[in-house]
Amino acid sequence: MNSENSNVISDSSYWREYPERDVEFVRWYPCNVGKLSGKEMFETIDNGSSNEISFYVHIPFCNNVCICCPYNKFTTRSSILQEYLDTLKLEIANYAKQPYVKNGKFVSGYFGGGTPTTLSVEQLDDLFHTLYTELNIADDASITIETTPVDMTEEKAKVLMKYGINRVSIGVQSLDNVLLKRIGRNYKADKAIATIKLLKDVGIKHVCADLMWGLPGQTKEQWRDTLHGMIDLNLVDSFSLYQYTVLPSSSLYFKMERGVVPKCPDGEIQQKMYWESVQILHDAGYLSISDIDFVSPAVLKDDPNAQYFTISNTNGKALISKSCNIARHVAHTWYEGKPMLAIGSGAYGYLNHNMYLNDPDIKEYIRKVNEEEYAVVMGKYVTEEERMAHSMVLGIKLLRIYREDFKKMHGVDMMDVFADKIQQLIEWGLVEITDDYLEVTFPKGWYYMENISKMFYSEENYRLPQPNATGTILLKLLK
Amino acid sequence: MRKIFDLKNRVVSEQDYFDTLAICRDYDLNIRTSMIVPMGKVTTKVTDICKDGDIVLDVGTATGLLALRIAGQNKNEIIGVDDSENLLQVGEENASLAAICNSPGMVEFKYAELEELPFDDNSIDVVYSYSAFHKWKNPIAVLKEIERVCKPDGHIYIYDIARDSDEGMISFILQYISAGQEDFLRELKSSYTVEEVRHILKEAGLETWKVEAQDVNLAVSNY
Repeated sequence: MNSENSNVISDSSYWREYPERDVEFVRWYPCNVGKLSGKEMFETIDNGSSNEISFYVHIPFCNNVCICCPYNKFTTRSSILQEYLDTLKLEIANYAKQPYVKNGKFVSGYFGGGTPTTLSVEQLDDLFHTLYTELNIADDASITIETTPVDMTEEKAKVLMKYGINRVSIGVQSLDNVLLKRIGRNYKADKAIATIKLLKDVGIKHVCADLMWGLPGQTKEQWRDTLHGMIDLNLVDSFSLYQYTVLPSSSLYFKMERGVVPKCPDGEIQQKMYWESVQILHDAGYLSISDIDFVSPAVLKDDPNAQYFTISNTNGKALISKSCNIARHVAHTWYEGKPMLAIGSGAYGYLNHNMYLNDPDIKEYIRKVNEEEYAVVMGKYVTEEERMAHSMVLGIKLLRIYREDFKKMHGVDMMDVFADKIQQLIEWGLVEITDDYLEVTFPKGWYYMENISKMFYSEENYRLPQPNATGTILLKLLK
Repeated sequence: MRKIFDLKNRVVSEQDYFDTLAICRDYDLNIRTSMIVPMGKVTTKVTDICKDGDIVLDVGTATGLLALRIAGQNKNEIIGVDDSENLLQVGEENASLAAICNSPGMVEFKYAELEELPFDDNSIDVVYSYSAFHKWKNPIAVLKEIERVCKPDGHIYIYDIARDSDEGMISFILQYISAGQEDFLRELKSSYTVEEVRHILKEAGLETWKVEAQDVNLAVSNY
């Protein structure tokens, strides 16, 4: 058996120091989470917190559970679904009683999963109704919902429109029917395209497509065809490109070992796939938000506030995420480090300077919300020092941090705090600094994106893995 | 120094965790997936030191997965010994399954007190051990036995978890293994540090053997 397969999560996926390349996708900071309860989280309210809030609602159900998916989910056949939805509504109401949440203005939100659109039209309407009644959601808020190509219908899309949910992230993954079948997706390419058309016809403002590279047996040509096919459609407002991953404990891993499913292309070919897609998208005028997210040039016409810069050494442009609506959610949580209310089992949030996780055990989640108001089980108070680290760790993933923005958030220049680390990254050729900003170099810095991000981890977080949204097992095992 | 887990002192549980066949079967099912990555590494390591026809001894074979796996790809006779009847019985079940599936490889399981290995002096070409060293009640005696049965030009490779591993890496593994996290940490607590193993080797008069840290493991070799 071959454990060197680059798509398989193994100990080589764990922390690597430059010049070795780190591949663990950084999405949370800090990592040193411990026991935390909802009560503790609101013990002292920090009035300095921003009143601009975001929300994340987790729907851990899917009609078709994919063999490669690491997120917590159940099939919709689960009898627990309605009980779960009732609990979500209660949890929203409980949080809305907190002045901290009640007085906040929600500028962005995200429904993720699982597949939130596995819910029926009535269930969606009911959930949105509670959310929009209980929370103060801004008229121009950027609200995203994830869907598969098969779980979206015209009726559901109309419910989204009714509430102003204006961004749909659709997991297309590939336009190759053989590959789709191989990874256990239950639709064909034409269905994915039809769903995108449907969403646009109904009037959804931003349709964003997730695509995967490095699929089992995928060739460079197949990947290129998918990418060109999606660009030529001219309907998708942004693309997110994900490398396919295989969990070593999954049935898929053993299918690959048995030869039932072809192995993923080798590491070198996958690198070529990635860099070629960056080139193709930049050539077509798409603007980068991060090293994996690309926005259609149409955004520059549609969004009068959208600003961009040219990425050095390329013809490519990058969108300044905080300037535009389409990237509002990621800018809010990653770049600006503003609060996010987490609703649902296994959801991560950030409130009152506490990063927190709701119980990923769905039954425990339901019990806790009903009996104890909140279902928070794990988290960490984020000190001012760690907030500065957060701004660097996650902000730099959006390619450029403006020094003025950092100063506004933290009252000091980033060079006064992180000069040594930045200097080291400059020496390695991974970042550049000017009087105005810190920017990831292209292509070298892009290649080492996670190394750069982790460089800004505090000593307490050094070499710690990303918190895992699916398990609280660590709690039992910590000292 | 940061300490996330309580791993300062070695803690050995007196409890026999493999006292029923059902528990051994569960354990076997768990490690098929959770240990797939380290088993792959040891397979490569042992394959590198085996010549065709070499007699190979697996000390502390447990349910024999690794022995079956190595035998499946090498032309060697592998003898797996263990001092747990229950684990060996699951090993026999695994061997039957391998035979039903026409998996190649000559594997034989034997009950043995590890401090008195039932083999002649200088009779084995390759001795390896995987994730067992920390369970040996008298490691000095077992190491001496391994040295006794191994041919003078034979290879010895012992791979086990290490208590002084990088805590971030331990935490990473705990989050990614599919099951058995509590068992893993319990075993880790009862394992040795690289320094402690060096000390044991010295006591056994085997100070020429090498010890090195590898991920959350340590590897002992006589070559």
